[in-house]
Amino acid sequence: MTRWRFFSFLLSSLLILMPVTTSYADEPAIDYPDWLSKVALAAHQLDYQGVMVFQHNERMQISHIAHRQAHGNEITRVDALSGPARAWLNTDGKVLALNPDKHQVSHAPRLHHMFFPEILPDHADNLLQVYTLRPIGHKMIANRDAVGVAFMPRDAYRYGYLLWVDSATNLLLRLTKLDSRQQPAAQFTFTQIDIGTAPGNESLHAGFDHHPIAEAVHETTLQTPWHAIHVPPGYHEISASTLDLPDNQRHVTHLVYSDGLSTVSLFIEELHQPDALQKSGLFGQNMMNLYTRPLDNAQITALGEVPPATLMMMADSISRSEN
Amino acid sequence: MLNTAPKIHTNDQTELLSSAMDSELSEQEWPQFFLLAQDHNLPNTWTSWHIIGDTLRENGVHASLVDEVARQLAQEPTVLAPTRKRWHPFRTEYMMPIAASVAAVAVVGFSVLRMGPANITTAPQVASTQNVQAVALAQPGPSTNLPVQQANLDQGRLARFVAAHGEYTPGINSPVMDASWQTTTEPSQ
Repeated sequence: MTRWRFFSFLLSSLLILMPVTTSYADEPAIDYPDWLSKVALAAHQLDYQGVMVFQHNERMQISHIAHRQAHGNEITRVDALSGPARAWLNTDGKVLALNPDKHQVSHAPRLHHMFFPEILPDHADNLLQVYTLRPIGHKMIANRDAVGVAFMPRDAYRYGYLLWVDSATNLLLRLTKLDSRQQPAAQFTFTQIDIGTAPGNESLHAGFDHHPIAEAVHETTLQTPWHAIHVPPGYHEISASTLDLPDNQRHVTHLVYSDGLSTVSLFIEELHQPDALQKSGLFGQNMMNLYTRPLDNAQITALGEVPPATLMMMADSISRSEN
Repeated sequence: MLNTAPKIHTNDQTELLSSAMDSELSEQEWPQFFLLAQDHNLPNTWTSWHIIGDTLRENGVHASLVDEVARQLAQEPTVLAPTRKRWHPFRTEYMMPIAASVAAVAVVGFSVLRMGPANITTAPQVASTQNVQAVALAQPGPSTNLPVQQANLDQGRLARFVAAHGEYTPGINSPVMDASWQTTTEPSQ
């Protein structure tokens, strides 16, 4: 009987402890595929407005964001509260940028333009293939309880991220970008937010109505013969376009690769003057790295907030198909 | 779903806006100033934010405010692991988990042994300088052993590249981002 009681005790203890050992914290383990999808959707499906701060290189930008969703139509307005006066309006697949000082409104198609907290991709669960997610507890952000999850890279081709998500609504409240030493290098965070109240039309459209709209399209999507043959795991091409450089009087092919969080741009400039080609070089500014190299009569430039190895792998494998 | 931030009375709103425009807000009043947009009784929220932005820019309080917010954010520790509760090993409520943890380690250890090395999920490998160098050398491309060359980057061209890249990465196209690049490594081809 004593032996039976001992095994019953051991078994019950094991059942009690197992969830703790798998989740690190004193709460149920997170179903990450489901959680990622909810976080990605929340930024699009919720009504919210608040003040957000972007810290980068010991500098800071303060903005006010208002987001409304109704019947599948999203509208987002961002007003810069620090730095030059600017406002952006994202709606119906296009971006309007207001420059009050110049009494100007410019217009550009919304290809992949992202405003915090719209960070995660549609198929966010794919991130699990290249990042290891682990809980880092709870904290109060903008007077709301946020659950933290660390996105740690599974390889050396990307940096890590910390995401803090509102536990009640799954809206992303804070994103911290980590550098190669796992130290915070940049951060978006709400300092105040109201979730669940739709901003009115008057506040979303104000200021945009009385200015002529100038076309500011610099990129055109295209089928390009240029592609990177070797890309690190998880990265895939999300865009190929031409970029006009007016002062240079030349077209540049712009390829964009992303793993869902980290993004790499590859610029291919076909030069008619071989002496204009630059030698290979690797450069860095905080998290942002840049790698450039000549290839025949083209200058290849790769940049992104990724390790140099990522840029070098892609840029060195750029090839032009002859089809 | 409702915001838990305290609301500001209408009379206080006017006074707060007035004080802000006259640069008479104290440090304690700045957070209240930001909460103004939360009050939906305000006739035109955008106008309020326009005033707030202009006030921050024109009255020179931006720097001190930014410093203050930066200081407060900096005081928050970076958490890479969950905070564990303090525990006392001899308290009775911990005895059962302690006993069970021994059994759990045994079970997990047995499972790992059965999976073998190929199936064990490796610990996340975070990119470090050493890792990057190692990976870079393993890939086809320029070797860092080649002589260093002086690079000549066209800053205007780079600024356009960074701006184009910023369309796909939030934050990069921020007005605070400049194009003053520092050369860290200059492998030559």
